[in-house]
Amino acid sequence: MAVSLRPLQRVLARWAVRGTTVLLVEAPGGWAARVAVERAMAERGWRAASSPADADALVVCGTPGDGWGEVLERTWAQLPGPRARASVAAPSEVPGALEGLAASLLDDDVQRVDAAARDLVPADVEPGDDMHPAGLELAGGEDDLRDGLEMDVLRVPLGPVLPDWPAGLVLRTVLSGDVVVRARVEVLPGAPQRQDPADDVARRLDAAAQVLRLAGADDLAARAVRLRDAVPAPRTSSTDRPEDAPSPRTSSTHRPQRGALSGTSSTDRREGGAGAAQRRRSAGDVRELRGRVERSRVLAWALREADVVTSSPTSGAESDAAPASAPDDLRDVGLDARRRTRDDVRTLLLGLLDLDARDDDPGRRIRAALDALPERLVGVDVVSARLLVAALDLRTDTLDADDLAALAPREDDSDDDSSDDDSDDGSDQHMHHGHAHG
Amino acid sequence: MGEVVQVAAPWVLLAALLLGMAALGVAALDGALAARAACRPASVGAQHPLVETARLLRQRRRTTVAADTLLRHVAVGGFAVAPLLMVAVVPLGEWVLADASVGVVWFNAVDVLVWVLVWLAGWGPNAAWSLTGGYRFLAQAMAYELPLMFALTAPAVAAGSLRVGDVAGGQQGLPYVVWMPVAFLVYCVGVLAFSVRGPLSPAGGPVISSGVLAELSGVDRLLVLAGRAGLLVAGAAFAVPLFLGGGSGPLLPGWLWVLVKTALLTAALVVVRRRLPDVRPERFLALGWTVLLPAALLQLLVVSVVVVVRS
Repeated sequence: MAVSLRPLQRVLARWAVRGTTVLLVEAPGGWAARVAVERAMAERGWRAASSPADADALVVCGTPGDGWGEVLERTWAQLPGPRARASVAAPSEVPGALEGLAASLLDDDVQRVDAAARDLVPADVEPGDDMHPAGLELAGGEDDLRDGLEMDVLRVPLGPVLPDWPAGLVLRTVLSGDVVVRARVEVLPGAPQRQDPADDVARRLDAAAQVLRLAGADDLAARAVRLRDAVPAPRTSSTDRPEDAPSPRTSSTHRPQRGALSGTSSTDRREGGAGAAQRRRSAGDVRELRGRVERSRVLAWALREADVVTSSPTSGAESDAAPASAPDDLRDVGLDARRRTRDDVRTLLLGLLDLDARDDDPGRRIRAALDALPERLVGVDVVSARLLVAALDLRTDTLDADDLAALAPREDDSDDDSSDDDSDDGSDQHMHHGHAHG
Repeated sequence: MGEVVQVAAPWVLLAALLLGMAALGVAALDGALAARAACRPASVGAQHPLVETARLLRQRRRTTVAADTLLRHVAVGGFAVAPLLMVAVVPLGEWVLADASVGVVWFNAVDVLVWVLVWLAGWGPNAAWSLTGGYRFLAQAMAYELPLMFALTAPAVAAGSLRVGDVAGGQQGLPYVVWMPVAFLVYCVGVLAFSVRGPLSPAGGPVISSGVLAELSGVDRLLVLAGRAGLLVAGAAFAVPLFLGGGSGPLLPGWLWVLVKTALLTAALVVVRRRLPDVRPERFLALGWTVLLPAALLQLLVVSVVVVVRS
């Protein structure tokens, strides 16, 4: 009986693997690798998973630094299976990695062994009692938050494993229902890597695509992704590009692959004097996309923030930054908590698509943005928060060692006693693990 | 369009089959449109539902710590059943599964049942994103349900009956959509809203990591995905007897006209929902109560006046 089912299982497996969903985890510095993985996934008809439960494969892009180990293990444990995982430190490793994933997912015997080794129904760690079902703490209540409801205060870490989210960013939030009442920023580091300024346009388009995807504007997002993948190489010769450890080929190898991997885009070929014409055309395409975003009143309406009133406006901000510390250049991009407008996401999005605007010192901008973020997010609902974070284009790989030290995960905060338990992706338990069992 | 005949219960299998195929069609069209937007071959995208079905059939079911298993199962199973309950009162030409004298109310009751299902799907897994999806859906439900209810009332008032067959039969030569277009539009907004996908899908959507779907895997996920595609189809199918003249039309037999009209309306809804960004519930709430509801009531007033004058 079991033998006769084998051919059917093989057919099912072959079909299933054609639509593999991949949970992408980007460590700081893994941007080029992630983009290469996304492009290769599109070639195969694979798609990005929205949560660990949706994923067949876990792909870590870049080189995770300290603090990632447990996060990745916990995420891996949440994949239902059949499952496979791969690490992609540089774009050149992508084809082999995806091939390996497909082979592993197709191998029924390997998957069977993996499945037999673990129980997907979590054993209740504790017998629990009325106030601690299964050893979990109940949702709490806090005074005078948004609506006075009791037991709707949750501690939810956003990131670092979250689609369309900055690499390594962890936003430790306290939510009242779905409104942020407190937030703290942490960054899990990646391998240090110098920036390639030539990637700036592609990275902006990537950030714009993320915002549009989160906003549900799928066609515009697809357009932005196509433009990102078609960004012509800049005039700089390859010797100008930084080639330093630990993944020296990251910035220099992904460009030649663009033509090979994105077979649909004719703008990839750059030969002789055609480069300048392509750059012009690409810039024209970006302007056209920006025009579509700018003209769309529905999109503006959809991106506008909700007017949430928190009854205790001063309750938030665990940031070390003083409230008045937002530099002038942040005032215009929606991070000054007192000057916020409800159209900040749209303003930022249009800024990303404005090729004339140069981002000369992204490191400084991003550090300042991360400092201002906790205060800005108070009273913002979780949807607007995600849109805002995506629109800020927080390139965590531009942070230097001092910044990373200041933003390193902290365990000493009594307000957040279970940070080590919930540090995966926020899609875990809404009533977080108490330390009763830890 | 004469009398409708109630058929024996086993025919429900045919209804389920048709509904399943239509749900596959919805997903295939969705996939093809997405592929085209990404400049990939549309035929590859159109295979998406089959590939996804194979993938989810092969995937293990997983659950979360301290999940409410019973409520979760109710939600997942309910998604598969609700569309079938909706189409049970839709006449396919001259045949109908349940010729209920209150068919219109029945449909309305089932679409309110979707509230329960989405909320339970959000509550069951005991997880943050799922719960957020549940919250957001209930907020939105306040916006679309009342306008939808009054939109449903308009054809019933015009036909003087709550029996779906009578409503279809009351549109001799002039489908209700012609003289109650506002009710039809409001109804379509309602269908988009209760099918948990597209612009009016605060329960899911990428921005909350798929919300109520976030913790579902394997066959659980498959049932919910199929169910929500089925809800869109069922909503479109119910619009046929209500607004689009039922099975009336030249040349083709009535049952075929019902299928053709349902397919066209479903495809139109799929295309429309792809073109719009996600609308936030609080924004939709304002729209629902300041535009949709007054518009639906005005439409109802016009219909009532016409009915009174005509009699």
